[in-house]
Amino acid sequence: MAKVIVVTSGKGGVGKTTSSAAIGSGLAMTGAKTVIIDFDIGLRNLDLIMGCERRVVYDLINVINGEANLQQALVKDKRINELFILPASQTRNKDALTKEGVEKVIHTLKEDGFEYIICDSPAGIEQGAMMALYFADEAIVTTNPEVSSVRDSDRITGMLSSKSYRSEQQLTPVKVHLLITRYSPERVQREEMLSIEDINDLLGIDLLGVIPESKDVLSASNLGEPIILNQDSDAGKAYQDAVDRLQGIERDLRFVTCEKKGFLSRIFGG
Amino acid sequence: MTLKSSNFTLLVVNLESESLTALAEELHNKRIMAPDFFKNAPIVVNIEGAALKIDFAQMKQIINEQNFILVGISGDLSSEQKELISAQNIAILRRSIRQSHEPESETSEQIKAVEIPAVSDPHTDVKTKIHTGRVRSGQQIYAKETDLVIHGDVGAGAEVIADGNIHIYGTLNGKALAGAMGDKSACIFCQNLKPELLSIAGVYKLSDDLSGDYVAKSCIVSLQNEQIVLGKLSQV
Repeated sequence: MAKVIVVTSGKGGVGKTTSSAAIGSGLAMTGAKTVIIDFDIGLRNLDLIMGCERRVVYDLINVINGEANLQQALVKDKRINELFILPASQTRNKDALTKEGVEKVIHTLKEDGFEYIICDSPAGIEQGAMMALYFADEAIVTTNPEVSSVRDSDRITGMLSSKSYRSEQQLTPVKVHLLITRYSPERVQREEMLSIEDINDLLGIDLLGVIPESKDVLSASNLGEPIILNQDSDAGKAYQDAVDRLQGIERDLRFVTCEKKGFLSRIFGG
Repeated sequence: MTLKSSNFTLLVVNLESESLTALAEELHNKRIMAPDFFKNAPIVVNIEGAALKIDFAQMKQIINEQNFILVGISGDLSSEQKELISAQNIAILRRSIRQSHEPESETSEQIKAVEIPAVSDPHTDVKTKIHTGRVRSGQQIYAKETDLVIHGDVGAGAEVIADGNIHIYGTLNGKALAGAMGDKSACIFCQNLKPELLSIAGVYKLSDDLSGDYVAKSCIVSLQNEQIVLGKLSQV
C-alpha cells in the first residue's frame, strides 16, 4: 500500500528539502519505488539538492494542467534505481496548485506502483503547504531546537489534525513524526539551545530522529548529493537511523550527547 | 481651507408633546446629574409629530437657560413647522441614512434583551464540552454556553474559551478565557499553569503580571472584585 508522507515544518530554512531528499533516497535504497514531489512552487530547490536540475523538462504544474503526462515530468535519479523526482514549477504562482490536480497526480503515482510518495512542503501555512499536507498519511515535522521553529511546528501539527483529508473524512489521523535537525549537544549543554526533552514537552510528538548540526549537510547540498549517501557523516548516519525507524526498525538515538574529549585532544585541540 | 462633511455624536432629546415644561425638567435633571459634562453641551431636539404646535422661540430659551446649546431640530416636520423653525434661525437637521434605520436598531436591542437571560446562566442544559488531546498553536476551542474540559496540554499560541468554567488536565501554555459571555463567577482550573493570558468575564492578566508563586503549579483562577485572583488548587 502506497504511503504519502509530507515533510513539513511551518518555518522556513529548517531543513525540509534536505530531509525530504535524504529520507526519500534512504527509502528508495531499500528497494521501494519512491517519488519526491517538490511543492514549493515558484522557489524550486529539490532538484538542486538532488543534483538533477539540468534534467528538468516538465514540472508538477504542467502535469496538473494536463500540459505533460506524469512519465514526462518524473526525473529519474541516476544514483538510486527506484528514486524519482517530480520538480516544482519555477515560473508559476502557487495558486496553480489545486486540490483536484494534486489528488489526480497522487492517484496516478499510486497506480504506477510507487510505494512512498514524499511531499516536500514549502514554508508557511498557505496554499502550497496546505496542498502538500492535505493527502498525507504520515507527516514528518521538521524542527530546529529553537522556540520559533517549535511554535510553527506546533501550528502545522494542528493543521495536520484539522485541515487534512484524513481529518475531514474522519479517518485515522495523520501519523505525525518529529524530526529534529541541526541539533548541537554542546550548545544544549550550555543551555543555548532547546533540548530534546524541552521540544518533546512543547510538542508531544513521537520522535523519528535527531540530526546533528554538521558541515557535511551544506557541502552535500552544494554538490547535489543527498546527505544520506555520505555514510561517513554523522548527519548521514542519523538520517539512515530515521529511515530505519520510519520502516519500524528500532534504532537507538545517536549523536545526542556531548562527546567527552580525551586528554590528548584537549591538549592538541582535537 | 476645505469644506467637507463629518460625523458627530450629539445628544438628542425627543419631544413628544407641545408642553415645554417637561423638556425643561428633563434637561434640568440631566444637568444636575453631571454638571460639568453637560455644561454647554450641544443638543438636538427631535420633534415626534408633525402636528405639534411648538413655540420654538421659547424652546430655544429654555435650552439656553439650562446651559445647553441648541444645534438644530430634527424629525418628520411639517412645512408649517419648518417655517416657524427657520423664522427662529434654527437649523433643521436631516438624519443621515445610517441613522435612519431606527426600527433595525430597536429589533437588535430586542434580540439582546432576549439573549441576556440565557447568558446570565450559562450552566443550562448544554453538556460540558470535552476536548481530548493537545490543543496546538493557532487552534481555538470554544465551549458555547457551557464548561470546557481539556484533557491534554494547551500549546503556546492556542486559545481555550468557554462561556462557563475551564478545566485543564495538563499544562496551559496558551490563553484561557472563561466566562466569555460575561459570567463573573466562572473559574479556570489548571494542573500546570504557564499561561500567556488568563481572562475571566473580560478581565485579563498577562503572564508577566502573574506572581511567580503560582507559575507552573496547580491553580484555580477566579474573579474577585474585578481582579483576577490565583489560588493553589490543593489548598481548596
